[in-house]
Amino acid sequence: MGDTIGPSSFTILATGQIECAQIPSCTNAYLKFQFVAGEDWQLLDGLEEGITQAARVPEGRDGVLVWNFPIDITYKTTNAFGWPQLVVAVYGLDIFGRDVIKGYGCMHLPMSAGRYNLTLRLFRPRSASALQSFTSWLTGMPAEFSDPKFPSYGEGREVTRVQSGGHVKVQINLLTKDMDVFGYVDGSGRDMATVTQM
Amino acid sequence: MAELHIIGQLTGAFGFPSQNLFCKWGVSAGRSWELLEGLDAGQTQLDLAPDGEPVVWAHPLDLHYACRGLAGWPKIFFQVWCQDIHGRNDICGYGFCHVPTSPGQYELDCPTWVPEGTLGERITAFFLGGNPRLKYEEVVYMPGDRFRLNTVASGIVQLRLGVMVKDFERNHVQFG
Repeated sequence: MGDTIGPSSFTILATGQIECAQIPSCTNAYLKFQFVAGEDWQLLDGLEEGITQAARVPEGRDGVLVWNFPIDITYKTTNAFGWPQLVVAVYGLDIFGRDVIKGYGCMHLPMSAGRYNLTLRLFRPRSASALQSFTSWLTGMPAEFSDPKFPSYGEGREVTRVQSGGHVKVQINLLTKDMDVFGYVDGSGRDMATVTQM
Repeated sequence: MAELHIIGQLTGAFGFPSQNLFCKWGVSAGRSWELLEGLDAGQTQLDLAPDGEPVVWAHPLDLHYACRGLAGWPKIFFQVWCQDIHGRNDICGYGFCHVPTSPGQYELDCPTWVPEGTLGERITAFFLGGNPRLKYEEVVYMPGDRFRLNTVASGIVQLRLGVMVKDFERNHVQFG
């Protein structure tokens, strides 16, 4: 062993779209997304962050906001730790026409190659008191996370109080390259009937 | 040396008596497992969900273990707590689940239970709060004597996990 020099890293490619969202009492919104990955991960291609268009719910239909925003990203890494997460923040218009946060969501990219329909449930910070909730409604500045990557952190979440509501649907197709050469088994080559898929 | 990656999130929960919940979680593994990277314990955000919808935590899990022996495959254990309108925290459920032993992407639903006191204790807890709690929390995930414990079923914790392994097959381990 060891006479041939194999690849020094493996690559994952994720393509898909941020399809739509359904948020109660929100008829006009746009979404900001960003990919957060660990230190060992290097972006090879694609945009790590972006903003969709502002979408409006059509008259007389269910409240679905459709963005159809394409996602295309390729990462290279030597270590599966720090697997990329997709963090989204949905901003809508309040009755005075100002941008207010409607919800944050976060999900890891899938770990096995395949096609997935992901549902990111949204949550947003709660105001500390009823008075603060009223003044933030009046001034159009509800509580937001100061760090937009915060939903991807595993630490520091215990001090946040949030309320949830609404979800964003994302479709992702995942491809991996050279993981088997590295010795990784991600379960994508196995009989799917025995694996619980989403 | 074989390595295990557990990457996913503690998605949320449903079916609990309260919609204002947070979760303290931890991962327990045997002596031959060493945590190389990642956090193996934490606490999620406190989320208030609308009626009929699951509580959302979306707490990321990213663990990297080195394995020298299969015994003690990692398990994730939870304590679900609720907060009432007065700001008091009370235990709502204990549960655990093993990390799946085959690589792949999983959606797991873990049922939980809560210890039940005597009738007098339940009446007191209704007015003053303070459900009984476990004194030794290892009872949740360690096999042992639970014979004298009376419990009642509580809600379900949802997890989304990806399991990836490295070099297990080189050590002749079969996943099936």
